[in-house]
This record gives sequence, structure tokens and C-alpha cells, in this order.
Amino acid sequence: MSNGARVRRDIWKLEDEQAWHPITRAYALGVRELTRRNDDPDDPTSWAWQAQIHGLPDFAQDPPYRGQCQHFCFFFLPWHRCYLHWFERILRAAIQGIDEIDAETKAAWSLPYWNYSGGADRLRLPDPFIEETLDDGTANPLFVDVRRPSINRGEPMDALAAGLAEALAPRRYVDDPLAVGFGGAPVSNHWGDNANRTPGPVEGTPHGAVHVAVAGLMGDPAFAGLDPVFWMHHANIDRLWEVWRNDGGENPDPGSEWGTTEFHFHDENRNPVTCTAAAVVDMPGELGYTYEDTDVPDTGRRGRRRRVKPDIPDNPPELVGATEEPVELGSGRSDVEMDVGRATGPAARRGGDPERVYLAVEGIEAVGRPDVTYAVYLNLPDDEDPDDAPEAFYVGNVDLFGIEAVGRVDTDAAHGLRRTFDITELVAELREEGGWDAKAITVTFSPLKHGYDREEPDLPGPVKVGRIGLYYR
Amino acid sequence: MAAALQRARRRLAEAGAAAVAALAWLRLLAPAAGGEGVRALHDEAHAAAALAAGAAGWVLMAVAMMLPGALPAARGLAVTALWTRRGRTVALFLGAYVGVWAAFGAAAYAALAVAGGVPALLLPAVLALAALWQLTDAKWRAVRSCHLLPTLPPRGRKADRACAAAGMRYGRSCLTACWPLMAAMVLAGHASVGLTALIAAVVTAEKLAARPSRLAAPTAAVVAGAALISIPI
Repeated sequence: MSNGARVRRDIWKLEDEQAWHPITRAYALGVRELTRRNDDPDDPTSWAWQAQIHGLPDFAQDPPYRGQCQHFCFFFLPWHRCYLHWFERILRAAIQGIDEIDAETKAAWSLPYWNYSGGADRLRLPDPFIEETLDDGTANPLFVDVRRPSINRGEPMDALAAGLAEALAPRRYVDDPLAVGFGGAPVSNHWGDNANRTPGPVEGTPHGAVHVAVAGLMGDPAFAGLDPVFWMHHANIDRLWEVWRNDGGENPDPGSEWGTTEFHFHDENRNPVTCTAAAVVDMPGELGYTYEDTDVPDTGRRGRRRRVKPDIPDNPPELVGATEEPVELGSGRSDVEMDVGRATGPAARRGGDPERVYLAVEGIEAVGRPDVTYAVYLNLPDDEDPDDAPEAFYVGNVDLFGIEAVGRVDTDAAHGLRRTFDITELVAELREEGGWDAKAITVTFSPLKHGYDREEPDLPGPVKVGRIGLYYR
Repeated sequence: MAAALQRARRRLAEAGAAAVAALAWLRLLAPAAGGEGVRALHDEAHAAAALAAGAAGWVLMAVAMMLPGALPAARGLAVTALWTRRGRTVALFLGAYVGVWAAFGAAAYAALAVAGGVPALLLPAVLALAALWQLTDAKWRAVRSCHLLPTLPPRGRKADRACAAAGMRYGRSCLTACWPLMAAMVLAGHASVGLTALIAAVVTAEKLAARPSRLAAPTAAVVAGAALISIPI
């Protein structure tokens, strides 16, 4: 698999081998070197500039290099792969110039990834990211003090934030904008129909949910790249793209707009470079690295069911029920009831039950930046405690990463926020258990918990959901 | 072929509105392309019932120029409506939207009537103002505001009212974004096919662009060029 390519290693496996593994320590020293370059605000290889490529304060943009992160669309994965690639080259070059790093580490160094989905003990940050000083007593460049307190205490985030069942489930990279494609909705599909573009599920969970779980700098797109956890987190998201491909997923045509749209970065010599999805789909061949582990994890019974019957009808989804009024979510459990009608469009003409069922949480807004992710459940009985994460009713998560840009009219980076879940297999299971009523459903929202003790989410105000909709296809 | 049309109809909830916009363009272009006969009929209509023909012409022009850029918004609402309400959603939203432009036209023509004659330099002056407006923050805030679509209740009069309100809100945003351009069209009249097409292209492009404000300088230059050309020699 390696083809002579460098291997991006799992940070937890590195730390299991040796506390403060040389690869981890080199990462810390490399970050320190890039941070030193912040004195020159025009140095594109500085730590600050690299973070600004992702976002500038207040969602400002400085095209073509800064404030350019691609979210809520099908460029999310390739843009971040490009971003990581050029960042890794810059950091790798910096590491080559640090005397206290040995030659073997310099030759092997690649960006590690944080595989938080690898078990309960992986849901916390490894010690090198939460210790305030290095062994020589100097400040630890991998430590950021403004993270969620429980995270910096070495406590785990909610396992639901790291779930992969929904992330890896879609069989298509791009699907109807109302449905769920792995990579997100096209940004220039039908006549620029992108006002409410739906992100791919991997962009929600684990991507957005982990951003929110770590919080602090990580919770804000404008500053996320300043936390060294960001790069390990995105290396893992990038790895999951390869996991999905190993599971039979197919990327869009590299010759399409998806493949040929150019993005702009700098290399380790500060020279401008361009990058396209077509240029980065082949990691060992084009980029010279691969991942330690891209095996497909067991995503449970529903994931297996979807693989057995992955057919997706050609017709678009159609709404069959929705809430009449906006819904406000708070710091506790919220149950929302809604009526459901029958399909009258293509899904009805085909007869029988719909082939796919989608639950959409639409028009999400919030005051300020609430560091909260809600778990969503369908027909959750009153006596079930959401803190037990009852899988039999679990739909997915609504993370609020990037919500500050919702409704903004002062920047081109504004967007809407919606989350869509393919709940076909969940509905089938509820039907088998007698828990499904085709005329009415109850949708429950409950904030994820963090740390050993439930922390009340920090909500500057209520989170508003414009509408919850149920779609048949 | 029939199956392909059926598939297209399922996917293109706004197809009917697109056809209306196309017909409006055909009607606008007919006098220019139809030779003396059609032009004579057009002139007779204006002579016989000037007010009605002027109003109809304005609405026709607003439909032709403004509907194409509004189709994605109409589609966005339609595809999230109940299947049986898709056409109704498009009609209510775009009807309210065109209504805003009709009201603008009525106010502008009333102002013209009160003012009496129109100085020859007013059209280039308004186009120059429109070019400057393209460079303001207020212009692009309004364009971005057009992309903020509400979620609608699923059924009943509540859904109708919300849909029409969404169309009016969208219309107000569009009016804020484009008022100087359309004020120029009031002065030029719908017979100015070249200017109509140029301004329609500008407003449609800025509505559909993923990053609209990047069009500020090029569209300002285009409109400034139109201002120069319209100066009477």
C-alpha cells in the first residue's frame, strides 16, 4: 500500500509506542518554528498565515489565499486535502532545519492523525496536547489553554461526536441537494441552486462535532487552524475519505468542475501554487503519503443494511411532513411532534413504501457561537434517557460549527445551515419493532455531553430551527 | 423523449416560470426582430392606450429581466414544499416578487408624469449613478440578502402567506440591489432592447454568482460604458 510513500500515523498509536513519540515532539517543535515566523505578517509559511488560509476574523476574505475554506459543499474534502498537503510540506521543511530532531524522524515525519473513532480511550486528546510545558520546561506549542476545560483535563468527548455510521453510509459522493451525498452538494449545480446547500455527513460528524467538542479556537473557523489539534483532526477526516473509497465509494469525475476548480496556496519556498481535486485524489501517486490505517470500520447493523440495499431512486425527494412553526432548542431535551402525510409525487406513483426516507433539520440559526452539538432521535420514548445514547432511535447529530456565518450579508462567505439524515434503515427498524407511525413522528434533540460530568452547554441564546422536514424518495 | 421530459419536469419545479421568462423575452424582442409590420403594431398599441401599454410593457420587461435570476430561489422553496404545492409555491413567490417591481414601476412612472419632460442627459446620469452603486457595500449586502431564503410552513393559507411574504422580502432585497439600473430602464423604455439585455445580464450574473461581490468592478465598468454610450451626441 505504501509504494514508498510516507505514512501518516495515528497519534494514539504513536503515543502508545512511546510517550512523546519523536514524531509528536517534532510536530511540537515544527509548530514552534512556524509560530516564530508570525513576526512577518506577509510570510505565507507562518503559523498565523496558515490558519488564515482557512479563515479570517469576522469571515473576511482575502482572495485568492486567505479566508478561503470550503465548507457545506462538495469541495470540502478536496480543498482540505490540498490545504493539509501544502501545510505538511511547509511544516516538514521547517522540521528539516531543527537541529534537535534526529535524521530518522526528519525523514519519516508526516502529519499524524487523531482517530477518535478507534475506541472509548481514543475520545480524549493524547497527553502531549494537554501538557502545558515540554520536558525542558518551555511552553508546549501543542497546548492551547482556551479549549473546552474537560478536553484539556484529558476527559473524553461524547462518543456520538466521533461516530462514523452516518459519515460513511452514503453510496454516492454527490446526490440530490436535498439528499445526502458523501462529499456534499455541488456548489454550481442547477442554476446556482446553493442557498441551502447540504454538507456531506462526514462534514457534520465527526468533522463539525469534533470541532465543537474541542471548542476554543477549534470552535471558530476563523481561528481553528491556530490549534495544532486542527491539523490532526483534518488529517483524520482526510483519512476517512480514503476509508470511504476503500468501502466502494467513487469520487466524481476528475474532469468535472469538482476536479478542475483551482485553489491557491504557497509551498515551503513561499512560491504560489494551485491545487485541484483532480491533482489530489491519488495520495501515494501525487502527494507521496498514505495512512497507517484505512480499513473500513464496523458501522453497525444499519450500515450493513445499507450496503445490502444501496439503490437510490432517480427521482428527487419529496416533502411529506414538516413542522408548522420554528423550533427553539436549549440546553436540555427538546421533543418536537409533527404530522406526516403520504407521498403524492414520484414516490407514490412507484407504489409501496418509499425507497429512501430523509429527515432534514432546516434553517438553523443561533445567537453568537453556541459550543453545542445536538444528538437527534426519532420517536424516542419518554422514559429513554438521551444520555444513554439509545442507538435504536438515534438519527445523527446537528453540529453548529460555522453557524456564525449563517444569515450574514456582509461577506460572500455567508451560508445557510441545514442537516439532512438518511433514516431509511432506522425507519425500517422502528417499523419492525412497532415504533413507527406513518402519520406522525416525534423528533428529539439533546445536547451531547462532554467530559466525565455533564457540562451544561454554553448557549448565548436559543438555537432556532426554522423547520424539521420529512422527505420520501 | 417523453420519459426524459417527465424526468425534467420532476427535477425542474421552476420550468413553467422559466418558460414565462423566455416568452417575455420573445415578446420584447419581437418588435426589434419582426420588421416594419410588428413594429407598427407595437407603436399603434402605445398610441391607442399609452398608459396600459406602458404598464404592460414595464411588467413584461421586469419579468424578462428579473425572473431568470430569481429562478434558483423559487426552485429552492419549491423543492422543499409538498409535491402538490410546488407549482403554487413558485407562482406565489415569483408573483409577489414581480409585484414589488410592478410597484416600483408605478411609482417611477408617476414621478415621471409629475416631472413632465425628461432631460436628455438624465439617462446617462442615472446609469452613471448605477455604476457607482455597483461599488457600494449596500449593493452587495442586498444581493447576498437575496440568498437568505426562509423555511416555509408545509400547508394551507399559512404556507401561502409565508410564501408570498418571502417573495416580497426577496423583491425588496432585489430592489435595493438594482434600483438605479431599473430606474434607467424606466427612462430608456422597454423598446431599448440592447440596454434591456445588458442590464438583464448584469443582474442575473450577480444573482447567480457564488461570490457576487467579485463582480462589483466589472459590472460597474459595463454600466459606466453604457452610460457613456447613452450620452446624446
